[in-house]
Amino acid sequence: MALWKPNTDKIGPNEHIGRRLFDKPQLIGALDQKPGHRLRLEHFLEKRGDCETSLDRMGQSNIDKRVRNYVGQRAVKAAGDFKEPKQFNGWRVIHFKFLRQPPHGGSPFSVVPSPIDGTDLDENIYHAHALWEGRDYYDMATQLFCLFIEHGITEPYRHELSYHERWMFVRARLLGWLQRSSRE
Amino acid sequence: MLSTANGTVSARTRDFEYSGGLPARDAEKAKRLEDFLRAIQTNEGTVHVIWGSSEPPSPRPPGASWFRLVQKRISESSTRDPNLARSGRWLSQATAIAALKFFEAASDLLPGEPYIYGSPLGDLIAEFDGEKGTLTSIIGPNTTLLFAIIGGTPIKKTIRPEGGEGGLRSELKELAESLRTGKHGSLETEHR
Repeated sequence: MALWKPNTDKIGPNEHIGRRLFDKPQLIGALDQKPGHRLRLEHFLEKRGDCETSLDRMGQSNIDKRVRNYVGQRAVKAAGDFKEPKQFNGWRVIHFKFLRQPPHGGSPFSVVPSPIDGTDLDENIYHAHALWEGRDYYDMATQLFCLFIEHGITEPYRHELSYHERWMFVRARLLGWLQRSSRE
Repeated sequence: MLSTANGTVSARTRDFEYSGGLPARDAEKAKRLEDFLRAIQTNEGTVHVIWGSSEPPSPRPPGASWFRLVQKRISESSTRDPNLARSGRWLSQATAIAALKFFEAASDLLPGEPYIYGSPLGDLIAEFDGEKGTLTSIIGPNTTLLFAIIGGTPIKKTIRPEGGEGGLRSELKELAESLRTGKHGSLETEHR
């Protein structure tokens, strides 16, 4: 069976939409905190200056395993491409109906297909955007956070790190520790 | 320079200003604040605590057991570099001071020890787990946003400095009660 080719005009009514879960940097004075696996508001905060929230289309009517693997490989690459490499832990996935018609009565979200052109792992035909449409930075994040935490499921993704990726993590942690030490 | 009246302390340097509660004759607390201010001070001046006696100390319930730990985490994450402050690893001095004031004013009302982190906008985010829901506080230098999810319903409150400590405590009391019982009233309020 061929890989699902998503409609690039609109999101289907039964599609499953995922938000990538990357680990986030911890405050330098709070490294003793244990982040755990709880979904946090930070998972829905975009970079400064962005006016749309990135999402992945995970399947036409459920989480499609092949789509998941396709997007997962790209998410792992994206995790390594951050200025400070992060770890990709999977997605929080929600049925599109909850975004189109939020059960608690909030404004509906406009989600539009936004395929990314490129070669190999730089291409993502399943990429989508949720538009802010007048919501401010924290409004958007808190509303999505509420919907995904209440109506979503976590879809984990395990990826074996290469030696280079492991080294980049160790290096990032070491640099953080050195910065902190130099301040003391 | 820094001056105090009984019950409050105000500090002002070239780059920041602090005005907040400090129980009179609480030497240990004064020392901590002085140490903190000194730590974030650069070479252009020194900080002195001067005791005054114009106002009676305002009674405040004792802070939560985790307050000092969170205070230490915030203080040690403070930086003068604005670029670092948006990296998620550091907090600007203004945000750190706002966060310290928030916890000092209301730690006894909060559901438990928070998980804290920085936002890409440079604010401090503190997340709490309550019996019947979750509470997320987004603390910036000028505004604090309280966002709770109780029984699947989002509740948002915006706290502005004009409301003072009393305004913050009254909003938090209401939310804390909702987090404990699962019952809630208004969906969105703004406290000015």
